[in-house]
Amino acid sequence: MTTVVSVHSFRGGTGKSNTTANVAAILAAHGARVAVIDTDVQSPGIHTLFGFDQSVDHTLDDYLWGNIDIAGAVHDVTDRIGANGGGGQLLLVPASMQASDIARILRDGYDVVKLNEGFRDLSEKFDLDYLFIDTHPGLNEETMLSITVSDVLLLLLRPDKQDFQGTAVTVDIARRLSVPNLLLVINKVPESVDGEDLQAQMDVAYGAPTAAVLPLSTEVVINASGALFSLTHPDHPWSEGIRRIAERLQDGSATG
Amino acid sequence: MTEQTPRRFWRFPMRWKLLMAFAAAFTVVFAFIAVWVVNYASDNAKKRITGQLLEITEGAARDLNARRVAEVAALPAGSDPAKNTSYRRIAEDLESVRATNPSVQPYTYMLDDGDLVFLVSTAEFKEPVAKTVPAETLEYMDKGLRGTTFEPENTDAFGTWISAYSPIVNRQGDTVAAVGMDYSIAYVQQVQREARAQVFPVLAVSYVLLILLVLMVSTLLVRPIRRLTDATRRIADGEYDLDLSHIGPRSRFSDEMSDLADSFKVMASKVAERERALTREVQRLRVEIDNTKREETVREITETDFFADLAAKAEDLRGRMHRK
Repeated sequence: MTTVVSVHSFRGGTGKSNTTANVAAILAAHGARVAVIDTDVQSPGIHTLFGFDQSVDHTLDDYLWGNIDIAGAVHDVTDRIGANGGGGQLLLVPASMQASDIARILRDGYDVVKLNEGFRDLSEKFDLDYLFIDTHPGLNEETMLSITVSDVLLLLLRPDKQDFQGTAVTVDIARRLSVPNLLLVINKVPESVDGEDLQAQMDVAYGAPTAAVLPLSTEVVINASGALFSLTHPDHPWSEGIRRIAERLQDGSATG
Repeated sequence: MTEQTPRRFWRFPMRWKLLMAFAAAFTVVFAFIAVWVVNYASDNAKKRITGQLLEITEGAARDLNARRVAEVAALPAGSDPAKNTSYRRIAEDLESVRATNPSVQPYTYMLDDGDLVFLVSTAEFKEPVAKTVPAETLEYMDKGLRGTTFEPENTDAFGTWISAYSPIVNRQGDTVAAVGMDYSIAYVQQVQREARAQVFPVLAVSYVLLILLVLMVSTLLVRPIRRLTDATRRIADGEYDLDLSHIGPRSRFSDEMSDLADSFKVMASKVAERERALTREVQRLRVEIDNTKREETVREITETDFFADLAAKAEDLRGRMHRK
């Protein structure tokens, strides 16, 4: 059975795409069949982490407009994780980077129900262990649908006032939608901040577990769009945090 | 914690305290040394004069012709000795002693029927000594007939002197008369004054040099303390990256001051570290959530038709995702 993981944040710039790609890659490297779908059609970006440039053919946009079926938008990026030992597989459904496509999506919107069908078909056709949905930041109809259909909501936030407040709202909404598992990840935490203390405060404030406190690192920022940092720098504290998130998801799927 | 330091109206720098303490101590010690040196110098001058006087007197007593002295001594009192050749020769001899030692007054005297009388002198021939000389001096002069005698400060009708007496002995070993020498005390005092005058400038220069040395030492002692004070002020202002290498000796040898500077450096770095820790504490992020606003925002979203519809279908949607 597929564990559907929505990766969401109240605001942009939380490192959502980077975290999603890295966690997905780690799970695939451990032998899981993983797909990542970029539903941030308004401002896509996750494909660059898997080595694609601006011109990607066969995207989620094409599927939403009925030009292709969902399998046609799938790109196998298993080679990006290096080894394919253990039968792991990493798939990507990118969103179009074409300005015209983005404009069309913004103008016409898309069929939320078709998107949901796409999730389901993808899970079934590729017999996925994990489906990561990289969402557009902020709460709107599409993201709330993604949240609703997920088994795990991975909420990313940065350590600032606006994110603390916005995440509280998102947590409440997720509860109202009865999302089975809620995991918080705080990213870009400056070294000077006491991480344990922050985590303890978040436990109290949100009543939900924090999977990882990821440090603010210039190395990560520099590497971000070029490669999968957790694979190239496995000993970095940021990568350790990514592994903790992956372990948390493995535990969750084992029990759920 | 207060930033105020007690208000002190009188500022009395340590440098001046040190200077005054050292100066006071040195002045006392120096005064003793000065008194001693001056006394020593004038005593020495007096001893030298005394020695010279005894030497001259003994020399004169030896050089005078005892036979001639005996001849003059035999002349009757009241006669005119100037006609006697021997008298004139003795007078010339005494005059030549005086010529070489101008501060000395030489004369001869003898025992005549139990009384001391002047022989060749400025006094009258065979005039009794007791007429012009006090009894005390008379005793010394009497002793002078038996052996060389020194008489310290004595005053007679002509002035204050130190004197020496030495017997004139003939070839048979008999004393025929004695030589007396008076040395003006004024001259002794002058020599003493001169000795003192030589010592005083040396003492004065040494004293000034010593005070300057004290000034230098006190400055050297106080300088690192001042620097340290300056450093504490800067640390109080939060400037921790201090260069304290200029406190303490510049050489490779350490002393208490460099120890202090070292421990001060350690203290400064620890304070800096602690402050950094405190700053970190201050940077402790507060996860603050405005719950009123939170509830309001959540209500705005949940009140929409879309949300109501989605919430109602939530279970179903998730179920359809996992249908096999």
